[in-house]
Amino acid sequence: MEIYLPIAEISTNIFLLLGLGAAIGFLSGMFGVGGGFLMTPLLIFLGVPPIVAVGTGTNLIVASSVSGMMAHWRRGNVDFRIGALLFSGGIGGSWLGVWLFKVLREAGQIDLVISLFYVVFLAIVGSLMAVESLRAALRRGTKRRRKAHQHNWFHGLPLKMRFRRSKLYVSALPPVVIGFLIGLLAAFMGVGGGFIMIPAMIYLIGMPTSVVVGTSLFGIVVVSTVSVLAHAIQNHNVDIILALLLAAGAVIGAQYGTRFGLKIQGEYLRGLLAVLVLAVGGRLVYGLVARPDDLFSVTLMAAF
Amino acid sequence: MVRRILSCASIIALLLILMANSSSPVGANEEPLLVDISPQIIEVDSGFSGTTIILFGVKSLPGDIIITLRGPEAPTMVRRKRRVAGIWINRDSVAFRGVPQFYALASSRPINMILDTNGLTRNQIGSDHILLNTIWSRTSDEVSAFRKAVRRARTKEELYAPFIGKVVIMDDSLFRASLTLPANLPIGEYVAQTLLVHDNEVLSQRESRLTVKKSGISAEIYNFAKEHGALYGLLAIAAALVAGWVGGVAFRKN
Repeated sequence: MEIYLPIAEISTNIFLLLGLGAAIGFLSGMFGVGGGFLMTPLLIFLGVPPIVAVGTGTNLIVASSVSGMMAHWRRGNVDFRIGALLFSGGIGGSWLGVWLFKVLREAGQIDLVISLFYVVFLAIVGSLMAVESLRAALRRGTKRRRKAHQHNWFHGLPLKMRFRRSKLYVSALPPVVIGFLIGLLAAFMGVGGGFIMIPAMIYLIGMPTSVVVGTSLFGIVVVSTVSVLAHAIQNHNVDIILALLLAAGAVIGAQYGTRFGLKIQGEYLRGLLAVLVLAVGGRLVYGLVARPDDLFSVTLMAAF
Repeated sequence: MVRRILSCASIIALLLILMANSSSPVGANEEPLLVDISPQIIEVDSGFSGTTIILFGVKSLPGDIIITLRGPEAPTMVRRKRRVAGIWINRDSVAFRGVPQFYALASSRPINMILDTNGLTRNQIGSDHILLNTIWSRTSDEVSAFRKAVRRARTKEELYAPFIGKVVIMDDSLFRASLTLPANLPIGEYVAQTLLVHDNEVLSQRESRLTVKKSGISAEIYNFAKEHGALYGLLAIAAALVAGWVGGVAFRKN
């Protein structure tokens, strides 16, 4: 059954979209990741314009993160003071990001920039995960103990604030800067940014692991909400029908993914994900390097 | 079905009027060519899979009929990729004024048997003869490659069709052509031009207008998103929040 996507302006099979949503949901449930970084490239491969893929991706992330955030909220695992700082940085980052996005779009370079961002980012994430899972597989059994709370140069920064929920007394700057960077990434790539936020919270801010996931989900929801709004106002590239179809598939897929994920050992799981991430990145590299079928592209201009 | 009967009825009615007109004694107001198009408005909804329009009319002089249908004209940018540090990047660009997004042709005989190349060019008949004037060009090379690129891209998307239907002439006076239009028909205003040609000379021409507009829920979503970006964004966020929340609640029991 064909469905016409009003903003992407293409007709696609409705079951293909539900299936794609389910597949991404399955992967995100299995690996415990947001899945935005796989969704945007797959939508592009499907023929959705990259601009619409990014805008719609941010909307999808709102849908896929909200139920997790509420679950953590109920258990009191969200540090709202840090969340508010992430939020304030995130607003700036995503508005700046969406504005830059618009400028690049008008210059005809946005597709290239989206691809480059993804290539760099998937290569880094993929190879880090591959190395880490290989190491873990080799070193199984000989666990090294890490200090619960490490001090580094971040803790010398000014503007210190007390965060009771996280039992911390640290500078307010790192959460704002992290929020800003996540906002930029959300605007440019249509990703939530949990993969950056979680390590940054643990290793840079030194937050206890118990509140990290809930707080980062809170940050993801608010930052992607701001990005959706900014994209809808400045770029008109959020396809509500596409987002809802993908979300419907993703919600169902995630349930099965979570169950399946429990049956596989962690390091193999991460190794598998690494292979997947590198494969998607490789496909994007091929798209950039291979000689296009037609060197020319034809687009309509805004009123002249 | 009802629409079809209605359009048939209107065609017959119009033909009767046209015939009455053409069979009247030769007078000062005699037109050598009368044309109408049906339907005059095409509504494109989410299930649109192309449609057929009928162009019909009457001619009072001997000759062949050529029909061109060209539509929504818009300034168009053509970019060319060049390899920079191993990556293909958009570098050169040329902007053209008033490029039709759709162009199709129907005729009673193959067009090069009706008009010579000169006549085809002068009347912009055939997608190779559409005038493409530049607004500006940022390239060191010939612009002709960019012109060709427009035609190639549109032909590939089946928006420039070399021949979409045959014009059938009956009794050397009535003619009729059914033009099949594709599913990806661009939205906007179209002009169907009908030429009466005899001995390599255009005797008469008529223009008929055709409007293609979006309709249904997808059109409303599209317009809403363009005109009320902020409200649309809030709506998209609300829909996502509800969808995510419902999904979470529905599966919590398991």
